[in-house]
Parts: sequence; C-alpha cells; structure tokens
Amino acid sequence: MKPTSWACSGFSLLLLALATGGFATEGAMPIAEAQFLQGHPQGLPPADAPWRPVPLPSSIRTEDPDSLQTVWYRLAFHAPEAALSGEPFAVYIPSFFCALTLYLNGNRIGLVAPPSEAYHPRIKRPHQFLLPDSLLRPGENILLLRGECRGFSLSLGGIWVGPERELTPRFEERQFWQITAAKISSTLGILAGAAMLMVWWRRRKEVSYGLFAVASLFWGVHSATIVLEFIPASLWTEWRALYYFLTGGFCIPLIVFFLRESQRRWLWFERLLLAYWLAAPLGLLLLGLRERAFLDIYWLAGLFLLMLLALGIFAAHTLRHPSSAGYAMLAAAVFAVLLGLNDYLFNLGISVVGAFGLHLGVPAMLLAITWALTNRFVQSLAVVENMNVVLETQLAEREGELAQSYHLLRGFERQQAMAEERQRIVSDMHDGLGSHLISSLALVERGAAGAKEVAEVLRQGIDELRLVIDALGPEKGDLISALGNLRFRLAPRFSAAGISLRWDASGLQDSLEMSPGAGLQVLRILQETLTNVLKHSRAGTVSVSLAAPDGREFHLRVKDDGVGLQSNLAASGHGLPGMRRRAEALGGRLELASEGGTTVHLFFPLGGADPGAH
Amino acid sequence: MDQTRIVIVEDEPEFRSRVSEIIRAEAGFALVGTAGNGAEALALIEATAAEVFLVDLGLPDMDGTRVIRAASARYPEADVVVVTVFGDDRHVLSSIEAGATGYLLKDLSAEDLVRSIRSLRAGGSPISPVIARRLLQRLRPPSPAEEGPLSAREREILQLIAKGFSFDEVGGLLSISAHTVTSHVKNIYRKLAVHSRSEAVYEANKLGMLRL
Repeated sequence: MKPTSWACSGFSLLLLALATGGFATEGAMPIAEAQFLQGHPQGLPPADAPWRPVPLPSSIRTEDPDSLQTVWYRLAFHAPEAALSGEPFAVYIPSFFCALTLYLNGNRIGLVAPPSEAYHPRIKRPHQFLLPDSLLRPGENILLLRGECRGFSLSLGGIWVGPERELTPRFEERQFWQITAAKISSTLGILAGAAMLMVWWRRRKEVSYGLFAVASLFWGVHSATIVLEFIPASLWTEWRALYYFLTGGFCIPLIVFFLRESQRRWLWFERLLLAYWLAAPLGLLLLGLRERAFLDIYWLAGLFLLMLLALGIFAAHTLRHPSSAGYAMLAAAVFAVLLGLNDYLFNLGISVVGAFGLHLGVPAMLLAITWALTNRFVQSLAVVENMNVVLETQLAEREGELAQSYHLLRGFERQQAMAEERQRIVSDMHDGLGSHLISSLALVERGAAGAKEVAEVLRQGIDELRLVIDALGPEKGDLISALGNLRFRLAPRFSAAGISLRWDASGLQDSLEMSPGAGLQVLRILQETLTNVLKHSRAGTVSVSLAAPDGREFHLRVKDDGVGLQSNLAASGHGLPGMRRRAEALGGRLELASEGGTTVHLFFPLGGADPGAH
Repeated sequence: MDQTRIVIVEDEPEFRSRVSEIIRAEAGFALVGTAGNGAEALALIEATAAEVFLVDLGLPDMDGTRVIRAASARYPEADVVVVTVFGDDRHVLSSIEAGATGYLLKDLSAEDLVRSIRSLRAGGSPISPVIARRLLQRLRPPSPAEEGPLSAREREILQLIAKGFSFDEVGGLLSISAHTVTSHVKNIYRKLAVHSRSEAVYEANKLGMLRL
C-alpha cells in the first residue's frame, strides 16, 4: 500500500469517526427530534405556531437561497439530576450555518450574531454554550434556537445536551477537523502551490507542474475563505462570483492536469474548460443573483462530471501504464471527489456525513500529486546523473581507444624505424661483407691466393662482421665504446706492425648514443682509415682523437707520421670516395691533410644525424 | 718452473686441434685434457686439476656457463676463460657472472693466444670497451648515496676503458702501472661473479627458496 493510500484511509477513518460522533459518551446524548418553524422574525414564536416535527440531524433546504430566512428549532429535554445539583452542563451544536441565537426556557443564553440584513452569514464552525443552572428546571426544559440564513441549507446538524466536560472534547474535536484542518489545508495548498510554481518557473516545458501549482494555490485561497463568516450583503454577488472563480480555478487546472497526465492534449477541450470556468463568475456578475441557484446546482455538478471524465481517462491510462504514483493519484483524487460531492450536497442542505470533508481530501490529493511530480523530478535527475555516468564511461572508453591507437601508432613507428634500420644494415652487410666474401671467393678460386692471403681476407671478413655486431649492440648503440672496441681489436695488429697507436677520448663525455646505422658508418670510416695507416703509411705513430667540443658536432681525427697523402693516395684511392660518401650520409664531411704524414678529419653533427642511405 | 696445465672444452674439432697444437708447441704449457661436450667437460673437471680452462659457450649438450661455474667452483685459483667468436658483451658477461676471469677470441693468432694465456696467469684479464661499459652498468650502485660493489678507482678504470683507452694509457692517465690496471680488472671480474651470486641468493631468499 502506498503512503498516500495510507493517508487516504486515515482521513476516511477520521471522517467516519467525525460522522458517527467520535468517542463514546456516557451522560451526553443527542436530541433525536425537534420542532421546526420557518418565518416569524419578530419575537419568540408561541407554542401554538405552525411547528412541524423534524428528526435530527435535519435536512431542510430552501429554494430561495438569496433572501434572508428566519428559522426556529424547538427542542425539549429532561434536566438530569447532576445538572440540577450544580455540575456544569452545556449545549453543543456541531453544524448550523446560520447566525444563531439560543434560548433556554425563554431566556437568551447564547448569541453568535444578531439578526441583521447587512450581513450574510456563512458560519461553518461548531458551537457550544453553557446552560446556566439557574435557568434549568426539573423535568422538561425547552431550548429554542433561532437562525438567520442565506443559502440552500436550513439544516441543523444535530444538537447535544450533556455535561460540559464531555461535550467540550467533542466540540474541540469538531472545531479542529472543520476549521483548523481547513486552515492547515489552505496553508498546505499555498505552500505546495508556491513550491511547484517555482519549479515550473524554471522549467516552463513541464506544464504539469504549472497546472498543479495553479490548482494548489486556488485551493489554498478557496479554503482560506472559511474565516470569512459574514459577507457584507452589498458584496454578496461579487462574493459568489469570487467563490465560483476560486472553485473553478481549483478544479479546471486539475482536470487539465489529469488529461495531460493521460497524454491527452486536447487544446480545444482545454479552451472549452477555461470558458466553462470563467462562465460562472462572469455569468453571475452579468446576469445577477437570479442565476445563483442554477450555478450552485448545475455548474458545480458540471464541474463534477468534467472531473469524473478526466479521472476516468486517467484511470484508463493508469491501467494501461501502471505506476505506483499513478494509482496513488487516482485513489486520492477519487477520494477527494467523493468528499467534494458530500460537501456539494451538504451545502445544498443534504447531509451525507453531516460535515464538510473536501478540505481533508484535498491535502491527500496534493500529497499524492506532489509525490508523483517529485518522483518524476527525482527520476529525471537520476536520468541526468546516469547520463553523466554513461558520458564519463564513454569518454573514458574513447580516451582509452585514443591512447591505444596512439600506442599502436607509436609501435608501428618504432617497428618501421627498426625495419628501416634493419634494411639499412642488411644492405650495408650486402655491400660490405657480401662483396668482400665474393671477391675473396674469386681470389681463392683463381688459385692466386696462398694460405696467408686467404687468412688475411677471411680475417677482414670477420672484422667486418665484428664491426656490425659492435654497431648493433644489445642496447641503443654507444658510439664511444664501439669505437673503442675497434681500437681494442686492432691494437695487436698495430703492435705487430710496430706502429704505436695512441688514443685520446678524454674530450668526450662518458657515452654517446647513436643509431646503429649511423654508428656503423662512423666505425667503417675509422676502420678504413686505420687499415690505410696499417697498410700504407709506414708510420711510427698514429694518434686517434675523439672530441665533441660543443656537444653538437663530433670530431674524429686520425693523424699519422707516415709518408703522407701523395704516395698512399693511389693505393687507397678506391677507399676514399666510399669514406666521403659515408661522411655525407652522416650529414658531415671528411677532410684530409698531408703535412708530415696524413691527417684525416671527420666532422658530423650529433643528434640530427641522418644515417641515411649510402 | 712448473708448467701451466690447460684444459680445452670445445665441440668444434678443427678449433680444438688447432688450439691443442699451439699449446703443445709451447714449452710452458701442458695440455692435460680436452672435452667435446659438457658432460665430458664436467667429468674432466672432476678428475683433472688445471690452472687454465678454455671453455666454449656453445656446447651441444649444455650451456657453457655450467661448465664455467663447475670449473671455477672446484678450482677457485684457476683461470676459467670463455672462448668466443665475437667477444660480444652478452656472452662474455654471462660467462664472467658464472666465474670466468677472461675471454679469448677464436681468431687470435697463435702468438696472441699464448700471450693472452700468459697475461691471464700473470694476473691480467682482457676487457673490451663495450664489456667495460656493461660492467659499469651491471655494478652500478643501487642509489647515488650508496656505495656499489666497485671502488672509486675501479669505476675510474672501467670508465676509461669504456672510452677506448688501453691498459697502458689508463695506467698513464691514473699514474699507476699497467700491471696494477690489469689486476684491478681481474678483481672487477671476480666482483661481478660474487655480485651475481649474491643477487641470486637475495632473489632466492626473497622467493623463500633458501633458509639461512
């Protein structure tokens, strides 16, 4: 069961308690029958006036609600022993809409308002009066009740005589449920309406909030009118017009609300409803009070029918699209409509439960609708939050994909670089080791080579291979150590040839990283130069110095004290162009000088060196 | 003077016989055994004491480092030398870690081979610049504040070798004899072997494989 339904049941039970008289009472009891007299505005009516008996509570209505009527109720009761012995006794009148004066045994004991043509009473509150014990007499006592009324109902909603201590709680209870509850209901309506109006103000597209806000505010004002117990007779027409305006302002937006909730956007019908709403107050103002009876009976009945129609459509919609909020709204609305019907009849003098009840039903309905709308609001928040989560997840996914494709791209780039490097080295080996092996093979096959020559060419082949291995290295090539390795390997040959090999790398940092392809070019140049020195220079000393003074350019210098360039140029002629080509591939240059020996300089830029094709 | 007893572990018959001949021809050397595979080598190490073990890494039945480890464990004073074609850092380093104190290139001439063995027995160990660079990396202190396994002087020597300086040149630059440089290098070799063993113990300990 929904909270709202609980609330509805609670209200129903309270209403039932109210109708059946609430707590059990011992001494207090309602008077079951009265004598009724209409008219006789001057003085107290005599016992032989045309009284007629009516059961209590009475249901008496007039066809002329706008002229001031005088009514009398005459009630007889026996004074209990206790009342005579001094215990305070009281009269309790739950509902009598007229301005009343109360007499006990011919003495006035109570007055709500004096009879007057100037005011129009609409008194919804209960009354209680003490019975002065001095006026009580043993045996039968007579209560005379005079009322001045405008309106359909001349009914007396019962009258109780009993000990004051028993009647007071009953009176207060009635006071609370009829008057205080209506004020609370009014406050709730205005607050709920204002809150919803604020929501709607920020979200104009959500018409439901606006409709509900208008209905709720109208309800708040409508039920606040309970405090207006006397309407000046001169403003009576305007008052009735206002009353219809408020009633319509409460009902018509609700009808549209329920239609819209049922996905029915009948604009023509909504305009018709608007016209129906305004027809009553305008009609009354234009045509005058003559139409009041018609409006009170038929216009209000029409409102009921329209409301029932909307609720029927809403019920069908809720059955097709069940939701707890939908059922709660439906139940609360039906409950409120039933109470409204009760009030409608009660106002016409037809008593169903003997009390007004709409002000109890409407808060239940407002609660149910507030719940439904809040639900919707919260759901849309949740949707937004969920959407945020989805968006965040999607964003994270995209980022992941992006990172992955970036990663892949980097992988491809690296692979491509490696493939290019590999290609470069393979073609280098093809040109170097490959052609060396081919020419060695030719040499051996010609039979022109002795064992010593064969050993020599094979050694050259191994040197070539070592060079490639040094250049490749397991990690990114360290050029300095690779060059050092070359020196380390060639050192025994220099010492065997009686050439002192000096090495100076003190002008270098500890290591110098270079791509294997570029490193190989440098190694080749150094190897070629040193081999030339070994073979042709007839030098006593060769010094190799490595330097990178500004860290941007590498400088390799090989200086020997041999016979110089002129004489060994012819012998090494085929080697020089290759060395120059390699230097160019490094983006650098090769310089030769011959002054008391040969000096070879290799310059190439660091960092940006393109190891490029040969 | 006592002869230097030498064992050859090499699966390639050509190379084995060439080296055998060179050693037999040398007055100060005595070839006390040859093995063509790892199993023979391990048996030989058990049975025959020697001062120099020449071990090829590429044995048909096992990794040559196992033979190196066995030989250096049984004869701590001996020189266990790895014989390699290219002297490439990966093979040489794993051999040194297994306990080798030097390496020889397979294409060395007869004189160079003899000279290298003599130099090893005299306390020297050959080391190429690339190997020196790798040794520096392997024996790097764990953090700048801590002292690594190498002394400052040893680091200095390795740094100069890595730049291509010869032992003589290093000695000249540091005002020490070339002989001192070679013995430093041999010490460095031993440190790498110890370092790799202690690392292995540390790792095993961490994995709970050892109870101390």
